[in-house]
Amino acid sequence: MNNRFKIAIIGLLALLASCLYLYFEFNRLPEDIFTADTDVKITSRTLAKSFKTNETRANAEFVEKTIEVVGSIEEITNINNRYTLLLQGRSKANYVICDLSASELEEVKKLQLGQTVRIKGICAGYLMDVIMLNCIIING
Amino acid sequence: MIKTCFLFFICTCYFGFSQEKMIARQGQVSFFSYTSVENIEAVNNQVLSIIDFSSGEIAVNMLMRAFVFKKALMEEHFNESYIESDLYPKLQFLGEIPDFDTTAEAQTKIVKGQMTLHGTTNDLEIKTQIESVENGFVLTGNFEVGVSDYDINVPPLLRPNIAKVINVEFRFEFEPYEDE
Repeated sequence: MNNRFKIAIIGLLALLASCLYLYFEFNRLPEDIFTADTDVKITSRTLAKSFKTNETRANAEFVEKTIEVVGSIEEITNINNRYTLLLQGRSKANYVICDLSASELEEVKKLQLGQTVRIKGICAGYLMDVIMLNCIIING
Repeated sequence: MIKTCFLFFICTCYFGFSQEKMIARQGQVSFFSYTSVENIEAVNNQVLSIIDFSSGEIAVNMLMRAFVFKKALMEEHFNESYIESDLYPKLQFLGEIPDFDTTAEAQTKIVKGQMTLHGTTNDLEIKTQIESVENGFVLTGNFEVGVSDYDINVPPLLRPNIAKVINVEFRFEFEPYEDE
């Protein structure tokens, strides 16, 4: 096997590896919330109060983090074909809104208003309420 | 200026006059970018909007990080490279609905206002369908956003992948607002 042939083979293998890397990177799915490590465990009231008191500090502390939040269910909504839990915040007009993952369609039907639940999800930030995305029900 | 008006509007809504206002905590806004290279779409199901009937004003506020994409790489590029969500986490719209008839079953209005995205504010006119439903209203519509109008930089290598004009659709279910 001469040197030119070896270089051509190595070049082809490198090209193949690059193409495979780009293909898998391009088609990479969002992180699986079931296996993601929890960064913060907190009650829904404390989480809502943290954002209301100092949004900038709370953004740095919670946004893009995987959070387990415990709170009482104030509302269960099904809007635009998505189930969402509104957990008790610091007051009547202030909630922790948990946008449920599609995997929770059956679990959410077992929940009741006033029940305390533990939810795991990704914190997206704060509007009038704290917004949590891709949420799963840890225990109901 | 629009930020001051927006904050004033939201604060006013927050602390009083609840019977004259309606709220949509979980509005849906989606956008689509169509090019010959690839199609990109994302949806945000947690958009906040409040209508003040006494003034005819409507405010919309959304987190840019709440847009959900099918692929993680698209979401990362959107938040880190294009929208810069750490610097500009929210989109705000403050506008007016002219002659809102709360007794009509269905009506179409041109909502005029200002939208602030990526630190840039532009005037916007949005044709909006308003449907009366039990205990509230549903607002739907669509409009187009020029990428260059909001100072969004797309790297030359990725320009063929991103449409110059993005199509945006929205749907809000409003219900009576109960304040604290």
